Amino acid sequence: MKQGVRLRLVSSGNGSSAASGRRSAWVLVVWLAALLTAGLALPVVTGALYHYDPFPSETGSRKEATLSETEPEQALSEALRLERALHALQPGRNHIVVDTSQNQLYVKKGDQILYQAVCSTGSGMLLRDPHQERQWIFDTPRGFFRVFRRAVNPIWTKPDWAFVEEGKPVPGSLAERRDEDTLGDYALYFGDGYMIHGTLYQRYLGRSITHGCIRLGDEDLERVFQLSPVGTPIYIF
Amino acid sequence: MTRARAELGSFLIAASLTLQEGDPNQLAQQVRFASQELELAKAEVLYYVLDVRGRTLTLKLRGVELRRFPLLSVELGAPLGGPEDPDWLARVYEFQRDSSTQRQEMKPGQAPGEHVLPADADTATPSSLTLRCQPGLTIRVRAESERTFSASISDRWALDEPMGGVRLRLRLADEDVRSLYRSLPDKAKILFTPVW
Repeated sequence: MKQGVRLRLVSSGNGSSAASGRRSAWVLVVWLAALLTAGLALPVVTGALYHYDPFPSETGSRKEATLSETEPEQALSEALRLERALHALQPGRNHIVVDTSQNQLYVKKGDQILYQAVCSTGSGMLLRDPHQERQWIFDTPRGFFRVFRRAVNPIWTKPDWAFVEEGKPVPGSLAERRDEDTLGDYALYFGDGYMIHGTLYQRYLGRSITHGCIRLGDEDLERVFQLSPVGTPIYIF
Repeated sequence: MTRARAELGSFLIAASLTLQEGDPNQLAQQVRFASQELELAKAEVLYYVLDVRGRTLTLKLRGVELRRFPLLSVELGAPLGGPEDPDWLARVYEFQRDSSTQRQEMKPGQAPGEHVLPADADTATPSSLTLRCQPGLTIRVRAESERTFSASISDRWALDEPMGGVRLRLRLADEDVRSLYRSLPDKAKILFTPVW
C-alpha cells in the first residue's frame, strides 16, 4: 500500500507537470497566433501593402487626356506657343549660376560654361542681438536676380549685424560704418544688400561661411566682373 | 538666340512627328506639361522636372536648367488597388518641409573666422531623404552607398509615410544626394514629364 501510495503520489506529480506543459504549449500557441495576426495586420494598418515596380512600367500608355480627331492641330499650335513662351524667358546673354550646395559659381552663355570658380556662400547660421529682440539668418537667397549695379573698389556700409557679430556697439553715424577693405576690388550688387564680392578670407573659399553674399577669390572676381554687365541674370540655387 | 531657335526647331520636328504618328493623347500630355512648366517658369520659383523615362531629376528656374541629377533607379510604389488619384502624374506637387531648419547659433564677439563650422559639417548629409509633397506624393531618395537589405525593407514598409498616396523611390549617387539635400528649397515644385 505504501508503495501504491508512493506510486500514486509520483503519478500525481507527473500529471501536474504535464498539465503545466500543456498550459505552456497553449500560451506559446496563443503568442504565435497573436504574432502571426499582428504580422498580417500590420501591413494593412500601416499601409505597407504597396506593390513596387520599376518605373515607368512598359505595359501600356497612360491615358490622362483625350483629344478628338479634329483637335490635334489646335493642340500642336498651342504646344508651339507654350514652347516659344518658355524659350523667351531664357537668357540669350551671359548669365551667372550659383550652386550654393557645392559653392560653385558659373558664368554661362546658353549651355556653354564661360567661366567657373569656387565661391563661398551663406553659412545658414543664426545671430541674435543680445541687447534687442532681433536676429539674423545668414542664408544666400535663392532664386532669380539681376546685377543692378557694379562697383570698382567698393565701400561696404556695415550693417548692424556686423557690429553685433563683433560684439561692438552699433554706431549711429555712417562714417563709422564705412569699410574700404573687406569687399575686395569689385562688387556686383544683386539686391537687398547682397552682392558678389571679394574676400579677406580666401582660405575659406569653397565653404559655406558668408553672411549671405557670394565671395570669390581675387582673380575669379575680376574675370566674373568683366563678364557680367549690369542686367546680367543671376540664378541661385 | 541661335540655340533657342535650334531647340525650337527640334521641338517643331518632334511635335510634327507626334502629330503624324496620330496619337492625340501624347500631344495633349505635351501641351499640359508645357503649360505647367511655363506657369512655374513665369512664377520665378525653383522647380524640379522628374523625367522617369530619361532617368533624370532636373532643377530649373525660369526654364533654365540649373542642375541635373541622374537617377540610378526609379521605383513606383502604389497601393494594391492602384493610386487613389489616377491622374497623379499630371499634377504639380509641392514639397512640404516637416520642420523648420535647425540653425547653429553664432556667439557675438568672436573673431572673424572663429564661427566657421568644421569642414565635415559642410558635407554632413543624411543617407536618405524623404520628401513629402502635396497632394499625395512621397519621394524617398537614397544614396547609392545605402543599397542595403535593411534599407530596402525600410523603403518598402515606410511606416512613416501616409497611406493611399503614391510613393517614389529614387536612388542617386552619394554626391548628388548631398547636393539635393543642401539645395532643396522649401515649397519646391515638382512635375513629371509625360510618360507614354
